Amino acid sequence: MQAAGGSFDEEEYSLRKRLPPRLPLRANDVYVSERTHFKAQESKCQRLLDSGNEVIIHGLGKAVNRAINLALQLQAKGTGTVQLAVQTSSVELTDDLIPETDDGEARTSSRNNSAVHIRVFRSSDKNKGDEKQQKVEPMDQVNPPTSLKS
Amino acid sequence: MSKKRKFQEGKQLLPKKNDDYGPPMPKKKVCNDKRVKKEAVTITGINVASFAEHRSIEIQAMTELVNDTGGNHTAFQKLPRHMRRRAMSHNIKRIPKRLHTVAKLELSKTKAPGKRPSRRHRRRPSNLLSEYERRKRRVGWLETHIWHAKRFKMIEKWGYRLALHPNDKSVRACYRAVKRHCLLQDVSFESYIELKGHREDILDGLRHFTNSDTGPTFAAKMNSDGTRQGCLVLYNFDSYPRLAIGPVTYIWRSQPQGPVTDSSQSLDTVWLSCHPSIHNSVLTALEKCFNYQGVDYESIHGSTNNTGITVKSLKDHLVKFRLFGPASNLVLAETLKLANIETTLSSSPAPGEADESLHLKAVWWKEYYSSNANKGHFLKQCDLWSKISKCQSPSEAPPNTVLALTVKDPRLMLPPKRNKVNLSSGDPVTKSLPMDLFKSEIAVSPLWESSIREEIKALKIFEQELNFMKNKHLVPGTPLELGDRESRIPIILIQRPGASPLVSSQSNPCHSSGWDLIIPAGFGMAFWIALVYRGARVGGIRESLSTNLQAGLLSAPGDYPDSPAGQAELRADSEARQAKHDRMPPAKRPNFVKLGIRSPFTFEFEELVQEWCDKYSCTLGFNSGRSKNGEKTTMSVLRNRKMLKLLQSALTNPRNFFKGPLKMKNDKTSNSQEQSAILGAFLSTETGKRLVSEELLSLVPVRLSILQRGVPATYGHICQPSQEDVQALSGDAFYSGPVEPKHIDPGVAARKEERKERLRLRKRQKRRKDKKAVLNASDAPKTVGDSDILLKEGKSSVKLCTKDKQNGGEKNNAESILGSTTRKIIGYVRNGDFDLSTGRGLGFGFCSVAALLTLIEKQKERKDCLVLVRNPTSLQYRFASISLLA
Repeated sequence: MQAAGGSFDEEEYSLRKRLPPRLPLRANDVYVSERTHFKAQESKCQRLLDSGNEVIIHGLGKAVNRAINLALQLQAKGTGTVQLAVQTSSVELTDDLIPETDDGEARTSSRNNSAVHIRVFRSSDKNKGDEKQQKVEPMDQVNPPTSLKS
Repeated sequence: MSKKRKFQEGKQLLPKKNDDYGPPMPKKKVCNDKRVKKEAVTITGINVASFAEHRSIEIQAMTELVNDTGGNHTAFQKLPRHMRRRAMSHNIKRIPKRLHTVAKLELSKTKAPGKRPSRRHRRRPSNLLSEYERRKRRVGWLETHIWHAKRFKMIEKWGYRLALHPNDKSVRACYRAVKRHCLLQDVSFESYIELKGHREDILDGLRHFTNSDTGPTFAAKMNSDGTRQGCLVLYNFDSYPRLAIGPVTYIWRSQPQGPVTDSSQSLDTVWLSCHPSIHNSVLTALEKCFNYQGVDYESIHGSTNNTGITVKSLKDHLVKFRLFGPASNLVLAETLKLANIETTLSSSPAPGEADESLHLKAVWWKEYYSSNANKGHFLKQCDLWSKISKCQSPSEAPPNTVLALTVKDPRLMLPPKRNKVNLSSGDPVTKSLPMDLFKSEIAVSPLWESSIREEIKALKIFEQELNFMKNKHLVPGTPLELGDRESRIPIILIQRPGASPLVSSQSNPCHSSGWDLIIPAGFGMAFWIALVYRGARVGGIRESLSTNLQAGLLSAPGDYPDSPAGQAELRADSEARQAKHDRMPPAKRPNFVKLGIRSPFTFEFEELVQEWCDKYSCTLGFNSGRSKNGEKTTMSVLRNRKMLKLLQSALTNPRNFFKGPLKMKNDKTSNSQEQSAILGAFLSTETGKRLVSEELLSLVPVRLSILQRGVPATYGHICQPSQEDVQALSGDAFYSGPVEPKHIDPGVAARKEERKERLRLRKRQKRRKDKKAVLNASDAPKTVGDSDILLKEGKSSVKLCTKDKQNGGEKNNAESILGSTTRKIIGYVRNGDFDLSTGRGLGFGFCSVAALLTLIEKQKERKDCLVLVRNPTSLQYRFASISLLA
């Protein structure tokens, strides 16, 4: 369990995490979590990629590894036709501190967690060496985008 | 046959005096009896006068009887069969002449039932409505009743006729709605109770029903300004930790004006929401607490006692809808359009409605929003709602937030067709909701005023009128603009954070989070249809139960076994199951004796807890006199937050838990007796000490996640695994669990014998029947009598058999619960189902605290605690990991 920003007394407060803010869920947005079945997600992404030539994979915190792994798997399967555009960001998470006693005031604490957004796409011209990468749209950029190529 | 029986019944009605002189009886058998009796009495002579006197009474009784036979029948229906004729009721001449007068009299009295009115007539709105009024006199209807009755399985529960589950095949669909979209339930049966008075007085009174051990009470600072809903468990007056009443939620009325001199304004109001099964007990408890006399009076008008506190039931004054799932924000955002409260631009009323606008001059919202403060609050509320409605999930808002709004009549913006709302990708999303948005202003609502609620209900535009206006509307399909005529409806939204924090780390977080929508009575259907047209899927009680199970929440009243309402619920359930079991033929139902299930339809919590407590104190040699065998224990459920937390930390990771305190224990316990690690660890803390010394006789709710196969079922056993079981599992990850050896049913031999006997009898009977077919009719009555005797014999033998069985059962009951199975029972499964989110079985049950301590002790080397779960119809134990749920 990650410590909420700032310390709090276990006796006085109980922690309740809110859901991370979610971005609009388009048909080709895939959110990866720790619990999702990897194979299932891979086949889902493959299907979306085949139908729409573009999938955006989001991973937050612990799921960043999985998201990257997923994207790389897709790329490897694409035998050179699939490209990646990666962007990282920080997501602000809010935790609620619910008092256990009558006198306590409800508090919140916020912390940042890193997230990765990978656009997996098939370029129409099939130019492998094409380095110009389109931006991943819905992110507010905290960190500069870093490219990730296998 | 029936005639004979009737006659004999009649005979018993006769005065039993000098039976031997009775009038000759037509039936042979009876006469035979008489003759036998006659021999015993010798008659010397007859006193004519007394003889006649006695006979006269008898004759009178008999004539009465003869006249009365058949009860509520007409004259000709009382005729013997051979005198009946076709169409006697139609043609009086077919009746024997002597009965003509009687028949005529009866005919004149009775009215022909007449033809059923035509369907068209019955379906006319006013007639239909009066029919509905008649039907809901006995049992309460929610406002959405008719809608539900067309689509749902309806059951009578808690004084209402409620929707149990939809008629279409929808278990999975409802789960998906909770997981991805929006599930809607009408929970208007959860009624509110209003307490009004000075805050200190109210808190003084309510203090007796709660305890700060169970978490924040009514006095919690967090909820005091009305921006959050509080939730707690009520106990009877000063009787914590025994005699729970049940869970309630409460909201204080938000009054951000600060110190107001007006006396009526300085009064505080709190609404308690409780389940209908405990509504009356809460109300009476509160009345008693605040010294009431007039019980009937107060339910309507509210009454004041010397402390100046008013208790008022708001039953059927408010409608409450519950939305689950991430899209409930979206559905609500589409449905709730903020009302226009500007009072200035009402100079041009629609033509032909001038008189009405005159009449409407003093509508509540004009008056209410004429004050700048109220308008300011409204603007803030609007601002916040616009932010919240753009969140992707209700769980992004602070837990239990109360948000008040005033919205338009949702019927005006009804989409032409039902469809599922979806957020278009281009829409902006709210990323964070800072806490300073949630000030007490956002919860200020005119809904708290009963006068305003009444007015809103009175000013509601009738459906018919609205349809007419829509019809006359120039551009069909566009929203109607009614100006001042339109209703402004104050509503309150309450966020529910969903899955309890104890389980949300394991399963999907914030599962089943959503909003509760409170609206004034009268507008239920308007909002209901609007929500349904936005794609909310509707569920019933079954859906809410399964959602609660998955979210790790307790559902009132069945999950509160220490409250009378909960016990009543459990009793009803067990009776229903028992009845269903008894209906089945013996070969088609499980033999619970063989399965080793002592009580397949009841929870034996008291016995279990007592046995564990005795055992625990014996084995540990810890004699602080906590198990007083003399006193009768009442069941209690552990709700002390600190103790639960301690127990939870030990249960979810025993190895980790013992790391710290064990060292301390080594230093401390130098006494000769080897104290167990668990005790040492628990005794090292103050809370633990209290837990061990006071709460050994309590139950705790636990959640069971099945590891591999199997789904826990109600009344199943939660058992302690032996060391070998755990080892077997660690050796083979796919080990499906041990098997309980078949128990011996002591009644089997006797039952077999009975069965043989019964077969023999049946054969004999059949033989006689065959013979009877060959023989002439004169022997028939005799054979019938014989077969009667046979039947009786058979019945008595069957009775004998059941008695034996009961004896067998008793024998089984006599032994202890702990000795009844090879793995020791530590608790019972209350509810279980297949969890669609994990793809495994999921259960919820109650365990004894002493048993849990023993379990932790046994598994202190493990990272999680394992238990075995066995269903009442199976011998197979299944492994499950256990965690607390509270």
